Amino acid sequence: MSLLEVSHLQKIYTTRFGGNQVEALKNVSFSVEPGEYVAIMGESGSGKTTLLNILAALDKPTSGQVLLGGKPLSEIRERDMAAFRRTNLGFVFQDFNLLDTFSLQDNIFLPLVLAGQEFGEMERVLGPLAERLGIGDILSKYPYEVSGGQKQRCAVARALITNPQIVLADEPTGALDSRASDRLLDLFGEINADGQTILMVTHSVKAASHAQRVLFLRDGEVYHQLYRGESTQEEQFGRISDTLTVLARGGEANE
Amino acid sequence: MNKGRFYPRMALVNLARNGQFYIPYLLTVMGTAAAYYITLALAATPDLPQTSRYSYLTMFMSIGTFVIAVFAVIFLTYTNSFLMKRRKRELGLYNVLGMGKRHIAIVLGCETLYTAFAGIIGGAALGMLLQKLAMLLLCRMMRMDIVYGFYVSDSAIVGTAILFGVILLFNLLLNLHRIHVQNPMELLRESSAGEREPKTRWPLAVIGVAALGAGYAIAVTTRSAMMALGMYFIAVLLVIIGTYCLFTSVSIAVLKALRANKKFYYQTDHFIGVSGMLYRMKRNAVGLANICILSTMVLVMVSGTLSLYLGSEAALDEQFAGNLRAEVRYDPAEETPFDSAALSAIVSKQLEQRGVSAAPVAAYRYLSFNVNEEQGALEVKKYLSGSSSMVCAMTPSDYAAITGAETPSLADGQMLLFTDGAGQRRNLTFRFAEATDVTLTAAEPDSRYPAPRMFQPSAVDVFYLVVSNGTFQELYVGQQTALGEAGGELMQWNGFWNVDESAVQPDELEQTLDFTGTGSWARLDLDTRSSFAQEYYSLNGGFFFLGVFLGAIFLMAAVLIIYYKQISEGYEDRERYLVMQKVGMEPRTVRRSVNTQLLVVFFAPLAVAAIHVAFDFSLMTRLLTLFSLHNGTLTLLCTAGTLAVFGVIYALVYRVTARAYYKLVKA
Repeated sequence: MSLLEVSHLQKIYTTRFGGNQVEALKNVSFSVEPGEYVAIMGESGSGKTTLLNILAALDKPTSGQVLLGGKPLSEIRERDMAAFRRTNLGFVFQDFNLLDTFSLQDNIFLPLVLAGQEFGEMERVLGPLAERLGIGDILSKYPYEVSGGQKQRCAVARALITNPQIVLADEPTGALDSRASDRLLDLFGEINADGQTILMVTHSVKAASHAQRVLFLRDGEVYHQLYRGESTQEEQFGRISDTLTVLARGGEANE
Repeated sequence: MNKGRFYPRMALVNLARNGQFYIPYLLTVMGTAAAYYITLALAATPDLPQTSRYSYLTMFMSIGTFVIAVFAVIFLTYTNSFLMKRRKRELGLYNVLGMGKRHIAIVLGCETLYTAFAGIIGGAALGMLLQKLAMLLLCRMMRMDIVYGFYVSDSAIVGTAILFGVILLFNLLLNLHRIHVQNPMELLRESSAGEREPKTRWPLAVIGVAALGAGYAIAVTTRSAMMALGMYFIAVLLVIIGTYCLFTSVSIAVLKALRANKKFYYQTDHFIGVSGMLYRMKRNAVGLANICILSTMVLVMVSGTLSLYLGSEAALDEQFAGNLRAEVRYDPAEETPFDSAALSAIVSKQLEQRGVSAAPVAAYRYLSFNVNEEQGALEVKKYLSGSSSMVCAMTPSDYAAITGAETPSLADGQMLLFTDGAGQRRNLTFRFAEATDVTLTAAEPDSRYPAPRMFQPSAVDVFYLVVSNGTFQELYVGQQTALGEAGGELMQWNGFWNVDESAVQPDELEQTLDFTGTGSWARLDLDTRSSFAQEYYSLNGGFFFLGVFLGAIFLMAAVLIIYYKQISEGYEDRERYLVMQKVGMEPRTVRRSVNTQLLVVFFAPLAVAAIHVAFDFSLMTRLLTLFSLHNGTLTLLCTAGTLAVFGVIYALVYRVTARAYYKLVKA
């Protein structure tokens, strides 16, 4: 059974005074298997953000549905929503969204504290994770004291600490320099190799080339998809670039 | 578009767009200007009668003028700097977009011009509207029967325009300087710079605790009113310093200690709350301290002057056993000594001849002199000094006349001792220069003998003594030897009659009554209760008016700071709560946590102010004895009442401003 099943999603925004209607998502269907690493690519306005917001249950589709672990998101009651997000989803944002009021360690603990866990338990979970992400020695620092790459790795730790079913990453390399980006993408690869399901929305060909599968979104529809298969990351990079070129020309992709 | 009109227009648009901040600021300028105009105009009230009690009006209003002027300078400068901090980014953007600093200066100049125009004209107009109301209130409180018609005081308008013009100009220059020294990129970055975690400043925390402790210690240990007067401002200063340190560093130290306690800290509510408050404390500590100090000032001023005002009747009762009083100072050693019985009879008789019935109701005699306590003995002094006390001695029969208690029987060398703050003692030893010491021993305390409620306006502690006739004479002789000439006249006799007050004029009586046959005396003063009460109310009523008036101004300032605090926190918190919701915080947890934090931070200044007032209480009751208010219960009730009313107003302000805050956070 698929971990995430998205079927026939449609999202129509109505402008404030009811005049124009904008169809952000037309008809999006795809599924993600447990342990998969999927990237979603598309230009600005292709509906990426809308899709991610719906997957994160921050927004509701006009029609169609999303199943996580076989359970429709629409059936979760509003008051259970936060707890659901906390336990099943992990978020990594483009601009990190770390809170300046907390040390990095406390930022990572935030979801656990919200869930009411014991401090000893939290510390036990954090130890190996921090080691793994290479942030063990900066945990007592504050977000404004460390680099972007370090911030993003802490944000990843915050996403992973609840052991979520799926990590949703929104342009995770968007605010990073190339070195930090590479390191983060390698990390995503490793985490995925350990069995963590990742769904990443990105602009970056390089970021997408790390994923096992790339979905291309255009004008609110899944337009094409590329499996990486056995090819290297460099080969995949080339294939994605080619696809994007074709997409940009407006032609049909031919596989 | 014409360039000449562009900048003035832009200034107007700026003010409108920053309306959330500028409208309250403008209202404050207007309110302060109105208050300033009113005090100036009342101080310059034309055609006042030339009596001393009307000169109090001018005096009180001049004090008010001075306080409001100082307050306006400090408060408007503070508010202006707050506003400019918020606008740094906007001004930086103008600079980046190609406006020269000169052009920004023109825009700021225009903004100041608009503010000055609206603030001063609006303030003067508001002042004129309220002037009559203030005058009516003042006349009522000061028991003045003349209610003046409406008049416009040109000099007050000019004075208001000058003061506020200068303040606003000064602030404009400050702003221009700020812009001048900053480069645009800095300006742009400023408001988005990451907020550092506040450091615990231990020296400040220690100073704060020490200053606050010292201030409280002074308040609690000061026993005499004279000392209270001298130490009051020192105590106030210490408490103000302590309050600032308390909010800026002690609070942070405490919160950090809470955070270090992991079991406590890592619970949902504490986690968000403690970290949020730590963050807030840095930004708002000074604002909170300001709110606290302003609140304390309002509470102290209003409760003090209110109890003074309400205590007036009781204080008058203490001084007037009957409504006509004669005070006579005399030397009993004169050849033809003062004959009190003759005076009583003469006054009654002569008044009855004029058709005014005047029955003598009470009379007593007492001896008073100053002493300094040296080497365990009370040494008689001619002049009063800061460490002096006063001795007020009377015989058992006079004591009975004053209190209505039964006449105590006392052996020579025994005393009944009543003190106003000096503490109870077993023995008192008097030292009179070369003469031998006189030591008195207190008789067993006896509930049959209440303290004599007689009036002794004194800035120092008073020992009220009841001694046998023989000891009374001994004291009299002793102090006379010690003081020589000056000692002779220190015997005082007070006599009281009940008369129809509307029929007598004390000043006129002093001139026209024939006192032959009363022996020789040094001074004789006649007063009626009502004439004295007028004098009394023009003082206490003036204080009360000033207390309430200045209290209202300070309250306005506190409200404005509270409002700014809520709005600026609303903007700060908006993003933080968005992020927390994204990582899985329930909206209702968000609301609950916001609520707790707001409540704690909001009511902390009020709680600290209440503690200040509690410590100030004993100091204030001492000070009030200077104005012959000896009613601690009344002062307590007034303080509690003022605190309750203030608390309600504060809570209302909280509700209104919290709504503005939630609107921001929810958006």
